[in-house]
Amino acid sequence: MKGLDEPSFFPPIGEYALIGDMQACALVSRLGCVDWLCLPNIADPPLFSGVLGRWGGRFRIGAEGDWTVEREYLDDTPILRTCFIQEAASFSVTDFLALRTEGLGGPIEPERELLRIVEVESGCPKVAFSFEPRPGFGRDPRLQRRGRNAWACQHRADLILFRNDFSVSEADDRQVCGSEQLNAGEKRYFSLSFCRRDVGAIPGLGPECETKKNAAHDWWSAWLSQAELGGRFNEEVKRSLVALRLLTSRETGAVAAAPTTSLPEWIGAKRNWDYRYCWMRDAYFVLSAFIQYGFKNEASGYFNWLMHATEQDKPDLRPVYDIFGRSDLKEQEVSQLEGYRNSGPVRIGNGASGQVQLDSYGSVILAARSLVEHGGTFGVSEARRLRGFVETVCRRWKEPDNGIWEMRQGRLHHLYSKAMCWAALDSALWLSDRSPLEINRDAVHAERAVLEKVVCVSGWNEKGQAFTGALGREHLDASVLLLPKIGIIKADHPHMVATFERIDAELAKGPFVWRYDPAIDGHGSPEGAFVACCFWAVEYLAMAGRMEEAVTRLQTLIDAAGDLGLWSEEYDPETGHMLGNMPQGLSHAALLHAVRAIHGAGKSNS
Amino acid sequence: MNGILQEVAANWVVVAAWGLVATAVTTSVLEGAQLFGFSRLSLPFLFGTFVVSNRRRAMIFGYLLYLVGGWLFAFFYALLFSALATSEWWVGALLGIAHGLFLVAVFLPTLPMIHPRMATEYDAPGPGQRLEPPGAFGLHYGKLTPIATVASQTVYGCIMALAYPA
Repeated sequence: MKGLDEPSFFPPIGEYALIGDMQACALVSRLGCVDWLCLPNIADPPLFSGVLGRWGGRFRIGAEGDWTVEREYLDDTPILRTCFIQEAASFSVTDFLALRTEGLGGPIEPERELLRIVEVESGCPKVAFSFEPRPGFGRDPRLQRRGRNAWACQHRADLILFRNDFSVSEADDRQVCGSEQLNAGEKRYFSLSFCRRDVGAIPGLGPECETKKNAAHDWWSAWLSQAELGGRFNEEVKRSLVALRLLTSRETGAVAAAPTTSLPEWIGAKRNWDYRYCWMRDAYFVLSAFIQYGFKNEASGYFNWLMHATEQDKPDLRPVYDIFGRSDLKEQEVSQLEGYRNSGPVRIGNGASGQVQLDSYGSVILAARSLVEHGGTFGVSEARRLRGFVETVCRRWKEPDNGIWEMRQGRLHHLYSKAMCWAALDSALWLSDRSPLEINRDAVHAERAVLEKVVCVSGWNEKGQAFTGALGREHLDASVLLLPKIGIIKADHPHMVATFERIDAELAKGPFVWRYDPAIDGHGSPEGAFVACCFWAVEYLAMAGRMEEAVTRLQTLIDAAGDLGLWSEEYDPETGHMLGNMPQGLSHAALLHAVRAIHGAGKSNS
Repeated sequence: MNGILQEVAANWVVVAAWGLVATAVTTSVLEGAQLFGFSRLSLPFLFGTFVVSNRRRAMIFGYLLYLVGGWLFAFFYALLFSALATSEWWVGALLGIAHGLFLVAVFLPTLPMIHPRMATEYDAPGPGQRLEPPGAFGLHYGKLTPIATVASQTVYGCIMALAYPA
């Protein structure tokens, strides 16, 4: 790797930055290395998967020696600027994915384009790069030179075109690398473009890259300006909104859970899953997060996708679909990659697609309610679909399921699933007064009353003085912190207060809350605190009127995030490291809800 | 020569109608090859970008130009069938193969020199030259591009041969 120190493989997960164009997402390490990029869409095979194995491929720009690294997102947009600083010299690398703001009507552009701009601020640093594509999880890169400073990699029907304006580059069929001594004020450009099943478009370098940067900056700034912010924690809110938007497909409106697969929930364990899909259980949290902060288009687009994706399985719901609404997500292991810090296996696809998760029905119908509460509408065909879900809930709520945490060792009567079934029926009754939804109100009323008893009476463990995680069991489950949020019980109800205290005592370390005791799920390994549960605890406290505690907890959590404010799925408070897929949409949606709850409680107090 | 022209003129309706059918089938074969990932070549798109730089309009213009080109070639094939005094299917197939080979061996490699929006292998692309050049035999558009192109033209020749009453 000419001109670059041997990379420190597997930097901490929390140090990765996210950039994207709302179809593809890339992870960029602190050292200026693109270690993850799937093309053309979020769940397609990666071009770089260095975060999951040494053979995974990466695209690095940096310099030899010790440099102080500072990073920022430009004006809150997902345009990342990484500054490498020494006493005698400094330079920056600006990374972003271009947005085709004019679509098909604009000039001929590649389908996707990653741009990296090097700019020397002072001194004469020797900047180096290495480009090692590994399409299809490291199979057969086939790099070929195309012209003076361009290399192409043809993989099946895909064309990956790499161009730069470095004066010196060396290449073989597996990598291109180069280095150049640059002077203050000089700039260099790198373009990585992609097209599938089409004649390739060759993007220009130089001023064209600057134009694309400005276009991306303008688009994101205009998008963020719609945000209805509430005062405190605005920076974190904006970061979370942008993270969620990056996970939202601009083509279909679907919102993926995360842009990555198999980042481990515990180092060395096998808790590695592919999260590049869309979970129904997240629907309510994500849609209502968007709409509460003023993003009605994203909320409506997501709702439309929900209705499209569920067409095949109606009146039942699968737990998870891909961004195009496909539910056949066969889980496979990728043998070429050893996994992040040897935490294999690397999995693609997700076996949860065959599970039963009854909470999904509540999440989808709550999402519809949230849409209507904020001025949205839906038509008769959507109402028919929702009625089918309501009838399914009435028919199936007595069944055990795999629950929100997708337990793989067997089905239980999870309390959160029952509560979300209650929420489905409660929201259906609410919607039937305000939308085209027509239901048998008497029957739904009756089932809702039974469910309320099941949750609030049968779910209460008198001996343990807490709501249990599942009927007939005694374990604690942090998902029950959401019961007041969905409206089945008041936050200051003595049973809720007692449940919170037990969860806080037994599943939490400070503000960090585990979803349950990891011993109960059969994986035989520990795991990190579940980030969404940490924010749910904050939201619960705000709803219970314990504002000071809520704000203190939220501030402590925010302080624990990385320099860019991104959250993965889990967090290990002992080491201060993020765990699991990164960044996680549910974590950011939970943060947004927590902040909104604090704002709401603050307003009602004043 | 007059007799050949008169024969083609007498059958112009057949030539025009089946020329349209053969062009449509050829397009479907090439587009199918794209969809299945065998080749990234799109002749309509390349033709369209001769006249416009906007991708949407390029596809519309490209299909129109390709259709007109297909019709013109139908008359050329008819002239050849009349000149050879035969339109057996294998004669059409041989003409199609020759046509396809010309496309991949001559037309595609020389395209960067005549196409206003195509980069050449020797220059960095300017703002106007953005299309990837096809390379020798169109191999830059995928390994199976020559086969898909020759196959589609062979189908074209066969259809014209079967339709033309020489």
